[in-house]
Amino acid sequence: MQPLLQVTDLHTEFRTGAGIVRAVDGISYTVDQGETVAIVGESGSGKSVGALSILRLIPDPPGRITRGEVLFAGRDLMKLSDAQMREVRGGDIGMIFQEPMTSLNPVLTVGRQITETLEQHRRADPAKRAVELLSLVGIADPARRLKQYPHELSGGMRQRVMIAIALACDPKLIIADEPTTALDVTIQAQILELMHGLTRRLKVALVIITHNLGVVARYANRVNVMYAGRIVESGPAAAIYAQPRHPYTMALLRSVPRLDQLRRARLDPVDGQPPDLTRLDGGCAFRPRCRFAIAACAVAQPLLTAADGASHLTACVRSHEIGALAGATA
Amino acid sequence: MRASAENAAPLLEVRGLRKMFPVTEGILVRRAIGEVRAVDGVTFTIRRGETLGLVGESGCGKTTTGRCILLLDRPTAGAILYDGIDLTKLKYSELMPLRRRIQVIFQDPYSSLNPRMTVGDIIAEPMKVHAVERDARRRATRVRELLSICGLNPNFADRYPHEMSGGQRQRVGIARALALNPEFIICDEAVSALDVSIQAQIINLLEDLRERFGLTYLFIAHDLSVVRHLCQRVAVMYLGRIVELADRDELFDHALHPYTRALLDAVPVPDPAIEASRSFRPVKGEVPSPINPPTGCVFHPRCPIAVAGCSRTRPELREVRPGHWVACSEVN
Repeated sequence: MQPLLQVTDLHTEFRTGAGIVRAVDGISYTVDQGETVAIVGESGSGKSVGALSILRLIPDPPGRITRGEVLFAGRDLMKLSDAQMREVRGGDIGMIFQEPMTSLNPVLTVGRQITETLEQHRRADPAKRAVELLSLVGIADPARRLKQYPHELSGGMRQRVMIAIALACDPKLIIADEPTTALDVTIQAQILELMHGLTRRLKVALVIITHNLGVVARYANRVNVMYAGRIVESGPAAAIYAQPRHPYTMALLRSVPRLDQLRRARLDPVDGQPPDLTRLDGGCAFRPRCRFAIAACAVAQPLLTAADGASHLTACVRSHEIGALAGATA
Repeated sequence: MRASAENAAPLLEVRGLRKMFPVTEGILVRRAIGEVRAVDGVTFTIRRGETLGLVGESGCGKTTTGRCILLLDRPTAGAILYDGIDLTKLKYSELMPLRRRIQVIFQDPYSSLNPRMTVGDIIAEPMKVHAVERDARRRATRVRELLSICGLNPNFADRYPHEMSGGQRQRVGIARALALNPEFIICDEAVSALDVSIQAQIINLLEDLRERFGLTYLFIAHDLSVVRHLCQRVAVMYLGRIVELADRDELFDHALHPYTRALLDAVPVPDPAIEASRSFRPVKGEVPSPINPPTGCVFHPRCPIAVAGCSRTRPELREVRPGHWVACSEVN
């Protein structure tokens, strides 16, 4: 079966005072119908730019999508006209962003922002649908809430409104960029459960972009780990957590304190500093921080290759021996 | 060592701390139309050498509690005894020598460093303010020493904050806090803004410094896994009040207050196998407004075990096991 979304060799760069930054440097991945795929990475890894590139929301200048193909339900989004692209955004692809306060329009009522999307996509009876949508996302007394402005709502409530807007036109895919990062722990749990339940029930695929390894473990079927603009490891969530095959993923998982394990005397951090994207050379970008780096790592950027089985990929020249190496130092 | 620490007098004792902020209306003529009870009767102690974690969600009053201890906000009521002296009763001139012993590390390494000052000037500033090192050359030497203590190259003294990464900036913030050889440091979400890979580096640094200089920390945070790693005792706050306080292991292994349990339950664990087997039901509702808090127990509208009486009487903290305090009438 054809995947719902197929991203191939996507490149996005920004021209900055310090030089050209290859924020997304050749990423490829697929999302099947109804599945949840997580893109995990730290600030500057290119996870958000990658998602915005799919939607062609990169401000140009300074940014530019230089190469790549994004097949969504059989169409290459990179080849669509701007008008066609506007049909896709908010139509077949819904979006949820991190900060609901800045992504909602402060001078429009909640109701207006939902009906605006519905009208843009020429849906019947927007007012009735807006009430329906607010009930769907668990907002009590929807008729009253529709008349309110974003500032009258709490952070969690605003994010529910964002979800309602994303779901307004029965999308096939929702892209959620750090949807709960700005929220408190108990509200984060509510919103994630809501998104998870709704995407399952309505059979919507979800691309969730996050830095939170716990969130990924709870909700994602498959995971792509990004570092310095590239996907360094990709595979089923279970496999990646049980047997990470890229030194960065290993280091990341090892560095977080965990409530489910005995308290460790000392944390094992990832050494060094995050990469400076204006100064990358031709080698593996993680090399300066990697415990297993060898001379070969400086020669070329490693490509994603099969680690364990066909679906678990890693971009490391030592991928065949990394499991044994990690075992030896653990 | 543990026993002797417990017998020692507390370094910090906060008693019945309250802080109200007025809610105002009007543009030209401002008048108070109500008040926010940011901190509503908080009592705890911190022993010398101990790290107390103060956890809770936004608006629970944890940061205001820290700011009151620093007297950045004047408490509305209550006492803050530092080494036996009530800071709230001191005049500015009397406070200054004590303030030198209490320092703070802020959350955001971007906004807490002046972008127009070099890193060296930022770290030297507390020494100038408190006139502890008047000689410029000795001050510069001390700056270089502090940078290297915090794991930075001493040559960074000539750089500006924008030339550094978030983790490096936070190390500068820590170096500044150490400049006056303090005994007590308030870490207000000191690692929350950092990337996962950098967070562990800074946590390890805070632990090393605690050991090396015998520091006492008040560690204000919302991330429970970090708090469990770093703190010996933990207080959980909700809507301006402490709802549970216990030793670390006791709190994380035998949490009693329904809010603490909800918080712990809400943290997803980085292991898909565990998450798949876990039945999970998030606590309902949202944190109510501190302008108009619920009657009785402030958590009762969201509480899974609330009974009729919970909306009437406010439960006080009581010691249910040695050292384990809970403000809930339904647990024992």
